[in-house]
Order: sequence, then C-alpha cells, then structure tokens
Amino acid sequence: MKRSEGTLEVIKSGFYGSIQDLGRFGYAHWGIPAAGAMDEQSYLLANHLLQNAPNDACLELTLIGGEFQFHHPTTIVITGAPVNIQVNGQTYPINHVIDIKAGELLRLSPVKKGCRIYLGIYGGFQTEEVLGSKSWYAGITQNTKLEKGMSLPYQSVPQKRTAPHAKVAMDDALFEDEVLEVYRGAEAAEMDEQRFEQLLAGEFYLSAKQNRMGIQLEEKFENSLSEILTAPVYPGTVQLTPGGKLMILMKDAQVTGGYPRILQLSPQAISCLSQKKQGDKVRFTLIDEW
Amino acid sequence: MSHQFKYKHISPTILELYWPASIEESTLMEMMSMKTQIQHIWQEALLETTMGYHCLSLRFASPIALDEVLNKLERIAEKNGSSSSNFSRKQWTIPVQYTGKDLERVAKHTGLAQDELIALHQAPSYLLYFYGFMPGFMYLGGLDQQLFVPRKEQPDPMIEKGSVAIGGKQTGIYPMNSPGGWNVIGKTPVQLFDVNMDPPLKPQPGDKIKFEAISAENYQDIISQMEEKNYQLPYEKI
Repeated sequence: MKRSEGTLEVIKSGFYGSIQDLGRFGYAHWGIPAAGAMDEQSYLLANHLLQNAPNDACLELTLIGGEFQFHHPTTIVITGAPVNIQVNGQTYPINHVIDIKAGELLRLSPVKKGCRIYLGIYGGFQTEEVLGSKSWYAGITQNTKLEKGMSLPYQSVPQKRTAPHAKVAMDDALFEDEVLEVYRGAEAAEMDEQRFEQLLAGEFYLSAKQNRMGIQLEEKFENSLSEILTAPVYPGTVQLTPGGKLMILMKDAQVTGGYPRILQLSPQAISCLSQKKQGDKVRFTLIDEW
Repeated sequence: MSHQFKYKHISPTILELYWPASIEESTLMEMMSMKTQIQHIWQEALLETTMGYHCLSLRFASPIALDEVLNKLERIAEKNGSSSSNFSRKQWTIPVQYTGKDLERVAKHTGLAQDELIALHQAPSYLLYFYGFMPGFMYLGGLDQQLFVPRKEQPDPMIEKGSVAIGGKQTGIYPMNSPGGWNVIGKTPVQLFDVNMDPPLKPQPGDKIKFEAISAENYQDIISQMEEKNYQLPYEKI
C-alpha cells in the first residue's frame, strides 16, 4: 500500500489533549515518569480496531473533544468516553472504524459520560519519540499539551475499508462501575485493621484536584501513619497525606514518594478511574487472594 | 546482604525488597549491587527497577511466580553478602554561583553569616542516593545539620532550572523549571539533565557530588562553553 506523510491539524484543542502510547519504561531510575494512556483499555481498543500495533500512539482528549482537520486520507477510530462524532457533518458511532478523505473535518462533542476520549489513527501518530516512547511529558518531549494550530503527522493511506464493521460492544463497566479493585499497599500493614476496613467500606468522591499525575479524593480520612523514607511509587498507588487526603497517583506520577502507600490499584482499576471526573463516586474492593 | 531478606509483594507484577529503614551508604551500595544482578538475570522481563532510600522495587512486565523469583533473589543475596561491590564510582564537582534569592532567609534562620553557610554547603561530599520527584532530581545525603531550614509554607510558583536549594534536611538542584518550596541559595550554569545527551544524566546513584563556588564571570564562561558543546562536568574517580 502506498504510504506518504499525512497531517492532522488541530482546529479546536478541547480542554486537555496529549499524544500517548503505552508509556516510557526503563527510565524511572532517572526520575522519569512512565506516562502513557490513562485509560489503557480504551487506548488498546483503538489500536486493536485499527489493527495497529499495541504501542501505536493515539491522541488522548480529556472531557472536551475538539475539532481536527485531516489533510490526507487515513483511517481513524474514536474510543473511550462516549461523544458525538461527526466527519464533515456525517455522524458515526463510537468504536467504529471511519475512513477519512483528504480535507475532512472531525468534530467531537464534550463527553456524554466518562472523561477520556482516544483518537486512534492507522499506524499511529508519527510524532517525536523520546527514550522509547511518544508519550508527551514536560521536560522530556517538545510538545506537552495539544494546542490549536498544531500539526500532528501520520502515515497517509488510501481508504481501504468498504465493508461496514460490526459495532463493538461498549465496556460499560469502565463508565458505570464505582468499584476500584485494589491490592494492599506497602504501608497497609501499619494501619490499624479497623481503619483499613473503614477505608474499604468508605465511599469517596473525586475532587477538582486532578490531572494526569494524580487524583485527590474529596473526603478526609483520618491519618495516624507517619511519613516514610522516600520510596518507589507507581501509577495506581494510593498515598495517604499527612492532612488525611487520599491521593491516587496516575500515569504521569513521580517515581518516588514520601507518603504512606496504603493501596495499589489494579491496571483495570486505573483505566476505570481514568474515566471518572470531579464529583464521581468510587469505592475500593480488596483483591486479597492472587 | 547483611540482614534477613525482606520483601513485600504489592501486586502480581510488583515486588519490593527492603533494607533496614535508615539512610545509609552501605544500604545503597548493597541495593545497587543487587539491582545490577537482578537486571542481569531478568532483563526484558523487568519493566523498571527503582530505588528509594531502603527499598528496591521490581516491576515486571507480567505476573510473576513469587516462589521462583524469591528463590533466585535469595541466591543473589547470599552471593552479594560474601562479595564486596566493585562499582566504578565518581565524584562530580558542580559549579554554583551562590547568589540565590533566599540566602538571606537561610542566613536568618540558621544564624549563620552568608559566607559561613556557603562554606558549609560546599564542605561535604554528598552521596547521590537516587533520582525522583521530577526527571533528573537528585536525592542527596550529607547536608550539614546547621543548614537544616524548613520548606516554605507557600511554595514559589516557579523555581528556575539549575537552582540549588535547601529544603528541610535536604539539598538539591532543580533540573527544570518547576514550582517548589525549597530555599534557593544558588544556581549552577550546568545543564545536568538533557534528554538529548547520552546518557541524559552523568552522575549515577552511588556517585558523590561536591559543590564549588564560582564567580559571575565563571558562570558566563561555563554557559558559553556549554553552548559550544565544549564543557565537561568535572569528576574524579573515587
């Protein structure tokens, strides 16, 4: 198939967008965060539907879609949080492979539920790769945030799909589930067993303090644990701050921390939490046998 | 290893190894020796090996068979205990112009004259334990107790790249522009972290760091040398 360079032009950038792949591994010992798609499940679905490699870079959009013009033919798919999808005025469902002609305009509405949208493209975005990953991160990659007027390169291919594609069943659990599966954190054993039970019985709401680094929960959870000697932390680590706030580290999280690590989210729970927004409720459920 | 082997199995893919909870050079050297051998054995099966002061974390790419991994680790630890580590270690000299905006604040808090505190900051050979907090941020051990100064209650919205600062019981260098609550006492002209360098960071955990006062003129000289890609961070083997 003939390939040439294509470009996507950002007409409206939405709220917060970035290029993400599976992340940057092997550099945490230099203090470099993994980054990578927040909702890995929806991200992987986009690449799967396009028959891309699992690590092909997608565009991750938070809360508000935006407008994008494709200057060359390609094939795309939108996954993750449900949104209205229009290409030159024609409406498409989510998780549906869409052929794009040169010059066509893609319009994505704000999310109807959930939080993060993935725009996958045939062969992945051909943006700058640094230390084995295309994931944007300040101080590592040139670009850190999607801006109006940016041009993102991709491999242009003539449309190749004519047969309508079966609609993929939405994984509603990502958007509907309040329950986050967790393991005991490194300092969980130092917690009073009753307090730990309260943690598992509690309901928590996502605060406004959240970004790709971490999500702080609204409720205060009384803390009797002291700070720890700085130790490794991971995406999905739940830290308990001295002020009694629960801080769930996400993909852009720093690689070490000094607050007690009381829970560790499963990868599935990180994807699920990535689709929650301010005011949404979560609970923790312990995976005790594994 | 000179103590009983301790671990925490955090999740199917995360295993943490523990040393006694204190900040010791001997612990760091044991951890580094373990880390080297672990990386050699598991190679691509390991996504990351990260260190804290007394914790070495192993993140595997897929779920591990715990017993099997622990058996191998026990054997490494036994060998480790009987052999002394033979790392090539370096001491790096980082030039600093001590004209930070919080010098007066630090002087006031410590009751030291500015030239005394500048001398005290240059005196030790700091041990680089690990990187964390942000890309290229060094966790250094060895700050003189007389220089312990609390972090600011209101963090500064922007501390410039290269700022040398004191926060609590620690000192360090901001490798990139960042908000921060530490007291800035100086600035280095050297770009310590650069993704375009190979490796992006020269000092490695286990290395030592010395700070050396330079004049405004020296500072400009080093900047020019760096622009001409003609500057090498000075070091000696230790």
